[in-house]
Amino acid sequence: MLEAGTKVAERYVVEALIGSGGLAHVYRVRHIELGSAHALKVLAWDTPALAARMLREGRIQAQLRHPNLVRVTDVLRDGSLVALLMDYIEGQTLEQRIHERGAMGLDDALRLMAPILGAVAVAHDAKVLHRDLKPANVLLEQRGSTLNPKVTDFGIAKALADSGEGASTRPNAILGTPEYMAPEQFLDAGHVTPAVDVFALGVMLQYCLTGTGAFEASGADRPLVELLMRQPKPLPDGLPDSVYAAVCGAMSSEPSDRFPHARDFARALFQDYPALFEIVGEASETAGGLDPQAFTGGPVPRVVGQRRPTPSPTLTPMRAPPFNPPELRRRSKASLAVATVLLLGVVGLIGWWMAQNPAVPEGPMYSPVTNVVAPTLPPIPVAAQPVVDDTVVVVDASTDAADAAEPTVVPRPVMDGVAEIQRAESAPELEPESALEIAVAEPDAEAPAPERSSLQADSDGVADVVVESGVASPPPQPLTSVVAVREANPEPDVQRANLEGRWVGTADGRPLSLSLRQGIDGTLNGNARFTLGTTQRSFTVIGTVSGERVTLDAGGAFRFMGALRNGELSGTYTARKRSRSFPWSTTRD
Amino acid sequence: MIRAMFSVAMLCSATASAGSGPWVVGEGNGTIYSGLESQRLTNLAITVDDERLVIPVGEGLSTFGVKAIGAWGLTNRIEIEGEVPWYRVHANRSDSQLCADLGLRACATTKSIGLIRLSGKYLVFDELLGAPVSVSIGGEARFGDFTEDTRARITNVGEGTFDLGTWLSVGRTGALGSIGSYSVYTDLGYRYRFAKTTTFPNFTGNLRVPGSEYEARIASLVSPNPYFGVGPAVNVLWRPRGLDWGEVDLTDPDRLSALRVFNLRAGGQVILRSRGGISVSASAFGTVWTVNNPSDVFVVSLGAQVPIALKDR
Repeated sequence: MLEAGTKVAERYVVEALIGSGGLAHVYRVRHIELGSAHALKVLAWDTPALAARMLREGRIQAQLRHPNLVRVTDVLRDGSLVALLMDYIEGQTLEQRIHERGAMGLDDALRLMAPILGAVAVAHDAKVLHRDLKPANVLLEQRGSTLNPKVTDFGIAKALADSGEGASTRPNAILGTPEYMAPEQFLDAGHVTPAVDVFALGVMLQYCLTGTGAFEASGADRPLVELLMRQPKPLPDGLPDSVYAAVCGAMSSEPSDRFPHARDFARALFQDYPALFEIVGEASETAGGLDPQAFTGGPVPRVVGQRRPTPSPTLTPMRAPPFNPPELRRRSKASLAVATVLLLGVVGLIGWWMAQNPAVPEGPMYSPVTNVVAPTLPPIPVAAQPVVDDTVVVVDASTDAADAAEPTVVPRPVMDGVAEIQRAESAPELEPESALEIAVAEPDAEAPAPERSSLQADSDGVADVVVESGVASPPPQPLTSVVAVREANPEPDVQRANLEGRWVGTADGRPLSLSLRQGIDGTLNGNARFTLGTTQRSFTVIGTVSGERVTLDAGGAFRFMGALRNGELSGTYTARKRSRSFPWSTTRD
Repeated sequence: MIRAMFSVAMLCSATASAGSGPWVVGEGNGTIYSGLESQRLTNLAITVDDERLVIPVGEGLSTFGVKAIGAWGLTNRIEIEGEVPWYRVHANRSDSQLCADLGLRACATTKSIGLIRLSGKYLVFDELLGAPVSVSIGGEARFGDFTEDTRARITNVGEGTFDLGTWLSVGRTGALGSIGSYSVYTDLGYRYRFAKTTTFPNFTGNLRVPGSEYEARIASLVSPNPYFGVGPAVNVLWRPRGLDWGEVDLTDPDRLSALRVFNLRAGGQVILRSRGGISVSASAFGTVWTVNNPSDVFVVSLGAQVPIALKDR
């Protein structure tokens, strides 16, 4: 950043910083010899690409010669510094002026717009679009008794004939200031016509007349649809028909309905004010402008009845402008199609998963009496003699409803085997707080082994057994007093494998480690840890080991069942509420 | 803008730690990640009007940070996570032209806490229970208001906003050979940023600064055995609404967070795991494409993650 007093190119001295942007700073400088004041736009970044851009901007602005355009008069280079020398305009911007003093009368507004339209018409004649016309880019130079407007900031101007490097516009780029941007400028600033400047000029005139502009200051951060569908505010009452129609035409939502050139807009706007249209066509430094005293420039001579032919734009009523640009319609349809495909995809994914994982009826599919039933293990050879003492389970048939839903089941010393349920026509009646003792009987060799069972007791003290065989689950059946058990180890003193320690392997292909502690009665506890990406997911496990068989309940989510064979602890695990099983296999770490 | 980029780097560099992907740690379990991070940049890709330009930024800027991330499984499907980073951000030449042009003590060295993040995740579909993919949804809150010194500083690591985000994560794991495995996941997020200001110099419309952001992460990990994993990752940050560099006012303290931003980075990560579940991870990311952000950022991070049992077994 240049300090005051710094000499630039040995001819100018910096007096003050008067503006700053993302790429450049603007200083007021004074010619050392001539004493003239100038504006110096200096790049903040020392790069060839930016310098090329600045020179391009300078060339565009320099080729436009009009008294109501801020001129670029020179390019300065001083070491690595590249700068544009421009007219220095002492005064406010149009935006500041209206902010301070409010809206103008019609005559003042038209008198102000005439030289602005003339300046923009010259740019359009030279195939240059400004693309960012707004009150903040109109400087009001005080010249004697008048305020002379000067259009400035061609920073995003586009030369229509320039196809060289630096002139291209990124496809779909949004450039400009939202309140003054034509609809098509939101969609693609790279493919626009002078009609975008005409639109901005129409909005600017409304701003002069109302002090608030035609559109809310919504900003470019608003959704595109919202920006495109916005409605202009109404014009003030009492406007001459020609002015009303011209402004409506300039702000038509369809570019093809708008005036194609700033001069065409001026012709329609000033058809009753021929003196002002002459300013547009023959702009000079003294032709236009305003009285600086509160815009009291007096009436502009109006010639009614001598209307000039206009390009007949389609006039759009300001209060209800029709708007539904084809591009927007196309985008809406595309968005709907994409959303539909995504929705169908999600539904399909969920449906496929549900088909792979058929739901099972509600209700506890596993009771804590995990040692009575070993669902997925192959049948174990039936022992000759049933075991009685070690296979008793006790069901607390409390009358409390909550307790009844989740009966307290206290396993007695471990039983290993497959239980088969014999059904009775009627359930035994149990007294509240009583216990049901399930006896052991000879197995029925013909009966299939149920895959799952659980014990339930209702509030009446009736205990049921839920039996599931295969995928389908029959309704709860009354509990019989006889349960057959095929015992794997008929010996009262069960031989148990020692599983204490850490086991590593895989579960359905995912890394799995089991850390187990074993009690003297065969109980197990510890944790199971899966490696999933960068995360390791752990479950607390509890269970039992009997002989070489192990059953582990993992946090209520699923159950491991398996056996230790040849040093490998493996089996299947089943989700608590699913019927599918997955293999797991571990070896001692 | 560079500050915004630093935020990007911070978000992207934790790929190898907890919190990425749809998976959760499980009820009563947790992890603590602690890591170091360093990044350096020398070039800036800016958009002026409609053109993308790459310009050097003096002698470059570098950061060094330490971060801690803790995760806790409330249930087998719900996890919460917190992150607290600390950063030292340093301009290699604070007397460079860049720093002079930016003014506002932009290049002063900063040492402070970065963006504090709290997040929660709910595992909707669980591969362990037979789902074809794991899917989780989550939300996050970020706090920058507590940490900023002054927004004017280019090296300020806190952006001075409060943000709320929502995430969708989809991932899948599977077997590779007898003991190997793979994982691939994507995280898609939207972050609403409560604006610091709605007006901006040189811009007559109302612009919410900073604007809302979208973020995406895609990563995979191939593990030939349970103790080693390596894989590529891609991170994207997109702030669609905002100004280009050519439109901001350099004298405004909100000039950097007003920028629209796009940042695509690609890199990879390596993880070593011990038998006890402790993992050491390293990741490196480089900028592939960016808009209004530094174009040559290279971020390296190294950290360790320790599993902890938070519930008495």
